[in-house]
Amino acid sequence: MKKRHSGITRRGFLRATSSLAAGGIVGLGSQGYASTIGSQSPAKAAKSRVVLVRNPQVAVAANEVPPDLLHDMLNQAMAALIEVRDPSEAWGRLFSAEDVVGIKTNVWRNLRTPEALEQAIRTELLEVGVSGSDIAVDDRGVRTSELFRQASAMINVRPMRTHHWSGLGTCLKNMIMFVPRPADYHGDSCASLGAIWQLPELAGKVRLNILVLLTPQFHGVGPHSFSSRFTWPYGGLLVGTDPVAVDATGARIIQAKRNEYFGETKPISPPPHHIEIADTRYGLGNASPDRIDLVELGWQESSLLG
Amino acid sequence: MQQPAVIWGVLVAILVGAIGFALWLFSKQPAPATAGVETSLPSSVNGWQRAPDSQHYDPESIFSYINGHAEVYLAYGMRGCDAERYIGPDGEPDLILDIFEMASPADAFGVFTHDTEGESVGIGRDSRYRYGWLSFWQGSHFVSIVAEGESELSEQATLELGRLVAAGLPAEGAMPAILEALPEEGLVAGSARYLHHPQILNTHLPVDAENLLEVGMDTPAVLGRYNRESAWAYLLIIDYPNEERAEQAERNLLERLSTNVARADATASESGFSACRREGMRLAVVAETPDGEWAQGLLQTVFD
Repeated sequence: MKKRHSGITRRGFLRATSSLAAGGIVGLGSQGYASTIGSQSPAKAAKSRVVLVRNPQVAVAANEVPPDLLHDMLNQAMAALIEVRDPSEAWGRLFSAEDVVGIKTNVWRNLRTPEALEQAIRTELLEVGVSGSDIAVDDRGVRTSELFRQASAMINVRPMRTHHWSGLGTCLKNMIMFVPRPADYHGDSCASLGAIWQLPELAGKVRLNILVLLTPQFHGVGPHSFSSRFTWPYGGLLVGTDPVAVDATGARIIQAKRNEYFGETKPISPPPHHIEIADTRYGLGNASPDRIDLVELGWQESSLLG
Repeated sequence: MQQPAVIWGVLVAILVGAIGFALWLFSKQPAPATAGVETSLPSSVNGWQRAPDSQHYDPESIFSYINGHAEVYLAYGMRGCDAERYIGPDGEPDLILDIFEMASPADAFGVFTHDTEGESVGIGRDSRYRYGWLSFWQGSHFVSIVAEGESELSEQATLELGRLVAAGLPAEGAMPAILEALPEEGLVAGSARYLHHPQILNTHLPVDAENLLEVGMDTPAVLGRYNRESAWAYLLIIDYPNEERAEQAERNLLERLSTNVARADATASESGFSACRREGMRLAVVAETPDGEWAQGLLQTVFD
């Protein structure tokens, strides 16, 4: 049985220290774009790679998505992210057999992370050699999960949607379940969400961020902040190691969809400024498009990123 | 001969136990949150049929129904919520009806003002309709009807259901008295929000996470948006239960105003206060306008 450590693993330590030495860069692609491990790097990368992969056949409800197709899309994105041909090599660059991995999902009943995607991630981690007993998928129970407490690595995966408190439900926002009183972070449109990523439970552990845009939500109404009227078939996954860059790209898509639907510039409300603040105040990544290397794969129609 | 007596004794004991268990279970069921409302709801509206499985939520269980947003209703003293679904005809979206019973008519008005977008459609004491969502308040109730899709028929059914629900709700209920403190000149129509919770204040006018204005359930407050030519401002008026609290809040704010100048990481909203004035237990604050003269004028009008 694999030994668990409450702190960082030897391999994790080496990875962390080498990434710091390289200015937070690991898994360097041929052009030297950054795939930072974790996001607490004191010297964030000059540019962050984000991959958008789309297919109209997955632009369906979470429980109807073809699992194999979604899995294939994820692997395409991973290979492009790390700039390797073989997706398994990409997974192997980010995770090792010694890792204990917490997959932070999102189970909001109106728009949840597809279970097929959780399963695809789990399958790839098993392929890397991570033991099945060292992988956990959780959302609201992450604070009390023993495995999440011991995790050496985390994967952050959630659907993109508008949000009553933060403007947008983002990868940054998805970690709010790591604090005992999430409402404490709701002030000023959740401006200080970035602080959560500096908690010891999270700092340096989130190696992969996946924003699910199969049927993203671009506007919220009513007490539930939801109506399927305000979702649309986009069929996309946004994948990156920099949560700020992933979220900023997702926000561009949502804003463009709002403008298109309402026929006027209709800013996301409240403003999702936690994304920019995560960059400028907390140094968690790159929010500006000119510091994001966006790679688009698959279905190109109406990507809203033009 | 003793055997039948023993059997009967056991049966009676089981029966008594079962009745006791049933009574215990019954006592654990939450009472209808908004007593009397559910029975007055229509069974159908324009072809939409009311689903049989009504749900009732109390301040604890509401989180299982409204994840992430329930704090808004709790901040206004929510006592209960009746949740109903009206099933649409073929090809038409369902309607979700939520009837919230708040602590008071002022609170029902307050939660109604949390989202002021949309047009008034003459339902209840005041109403808004926008993009398939109708909200209105009446008495101590706040009502929301959301169509789960887009169609002309569902829009008509939403409005008709709203009218029928309003007809079954108690009509009494006064607006919060502090509303009258907002100067009329320059006040943007429909922009006034009533609140008494720091989280709600921070949503509309980010102050800080530390509640420096000491807003609480015992401090009714009103926030209005003002316009003069091309300039905009917020005016916040808070009534404290005693002068000491008002003084403390004023001190906190003045201290923040002076320290923000030196804070490089202060956001525009944090440093956006323009002026404040206190008289007795009332504190008024103007924010987010650089026009000091206008800000002082607004404050003067509040205390005239």
